[in-house]
Amino acid sequence: MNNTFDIKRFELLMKRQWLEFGKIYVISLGIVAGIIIGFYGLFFFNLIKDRSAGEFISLLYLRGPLFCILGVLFLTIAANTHFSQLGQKPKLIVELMIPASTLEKFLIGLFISIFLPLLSYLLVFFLIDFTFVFVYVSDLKNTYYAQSIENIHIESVKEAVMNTYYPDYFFEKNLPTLFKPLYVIPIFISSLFFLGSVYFTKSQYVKTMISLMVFCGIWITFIVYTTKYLFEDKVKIGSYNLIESNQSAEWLTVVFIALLSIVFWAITYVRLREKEV
Amino acid sequence: MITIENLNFGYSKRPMLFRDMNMQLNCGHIYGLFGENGAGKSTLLKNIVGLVYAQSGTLNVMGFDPKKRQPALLQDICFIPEEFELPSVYIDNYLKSTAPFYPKFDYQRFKLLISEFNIPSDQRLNEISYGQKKKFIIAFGLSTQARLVIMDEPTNGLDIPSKTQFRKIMASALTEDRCIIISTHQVRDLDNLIDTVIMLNENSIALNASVEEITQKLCFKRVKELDETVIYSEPSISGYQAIFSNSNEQESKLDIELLFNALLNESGKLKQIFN
Repeated sequence: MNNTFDIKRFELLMKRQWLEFGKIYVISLGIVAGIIIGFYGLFFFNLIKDRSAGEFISLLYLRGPLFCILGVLFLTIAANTHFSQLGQKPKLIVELMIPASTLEKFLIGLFISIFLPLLSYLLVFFLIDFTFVFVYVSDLKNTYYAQSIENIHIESVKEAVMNTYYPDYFFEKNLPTLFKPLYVIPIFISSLFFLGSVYFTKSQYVKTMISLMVFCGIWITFIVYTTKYLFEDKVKIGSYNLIESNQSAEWLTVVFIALLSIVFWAITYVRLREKEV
Repeated sequence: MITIENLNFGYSKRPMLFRDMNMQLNCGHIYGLFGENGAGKSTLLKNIVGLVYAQSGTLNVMGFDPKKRQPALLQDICFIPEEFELPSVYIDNYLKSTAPFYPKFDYQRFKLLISEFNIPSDQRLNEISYGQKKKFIIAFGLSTQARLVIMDEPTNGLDIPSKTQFRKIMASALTEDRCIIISTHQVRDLDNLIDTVIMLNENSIALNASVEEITQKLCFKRVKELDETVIYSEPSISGYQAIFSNSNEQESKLDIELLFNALLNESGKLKQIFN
């Protein structure tokens, strides 16, 4: 018997987790979908009411913040939930005594806490977004030509939206091009909360959040004062002096953040292995 | 089956609980583990199943090091903790999700135990009473056919008929290749069930002897007057409950409670007899 990893045990563990937590997970995903639908529905309602292209543009501007804020909330809560139950002694005993290796338990945790929420959030958000915006676009198509709205470049808005929301939308469009590290930041933040769920034994979410804030505060202060000490009166600071976006620097940042996420996973694994009742 | 050598254990920022503990537990026995509150009964059990890590010493359970928490060992251990929590699922779903981890799981026996314990199958596990939960995990644990069965306060929360059923079921659960360890404060619940007594006192094993050995060496009697051969006594309604040295090879019934109190008060005399 392989005591480190066995695919059959891994499947059993996955099935067990799904039977116990699947329903709660689907419900929480339903809540997220409800919030997105509610948000879009409100704009759709306003759009039907006054048929204003301004409403449509407001929606286009607010989709980004909605995606980010809701995403961060959902991903961090999901990342912090699975292992946080190990903070309760009775649950911890049951989990540790399940005949599966620590690696298998860790990998299940990683999938349930980081990858599944990320994939399901992207899928839910994009499906709802695609559906609603497609309906908006159809609506705009039928109404804009009949109206004469001043100060709005209807044709350009329509063109941009139509180009964005066709089937290839899911694969190649509307992706951030300016700063590549954005692709790995969700995994990085999730990994941090994943570690927090094992590291702390009580109020894991709040404690992780506070730790993150304290760390960020110290780091920013350190950077500001170090920079000031090293470069004050030596380097010109202004918009003309900014370093231009550099492909290799961005990729290095991506690699660094990805590596840091893996380090967090490794620490989480060690903490899980050393967990005591 | 279990070998403990020079085990040293203590929780952080607290005095050591076990110092150089040595013990050997074998198959085919039901061990009763006793000790005062805080003596370390639950902690010893947790050490054996790998839920806590000792500072030093070696622990060998069926050829494995329990702190590695290897699946091959875990599937041969049935641990019934004092505190536990069951998920919000029906029995069938629990069975589907957890039983396959135990290759020797006996579904027929589980069905039989569930019906003997009268556990309702139409309620979620987190909704049934504490006593029923306890009976459920005992039924599940015994059905895993694990070779090592460890129970921490298993009779807490059980009603009187369930305690009788528990004793009956545990007696039938003992096989030649199985080792059962039961830790409890309710010594009367283990009457006629255990065959070996382990008592913890002062950071180590104060007594590890079979019931047969104890009743060969000691005589438990109710007497009206005490003489100089008495080892320990407690006043009772019609005289004294007392423990004597069994030099005349008299037959008597082990009184675990009396023995335990004797160990706390007259440990020196008992150590002389058993070492």
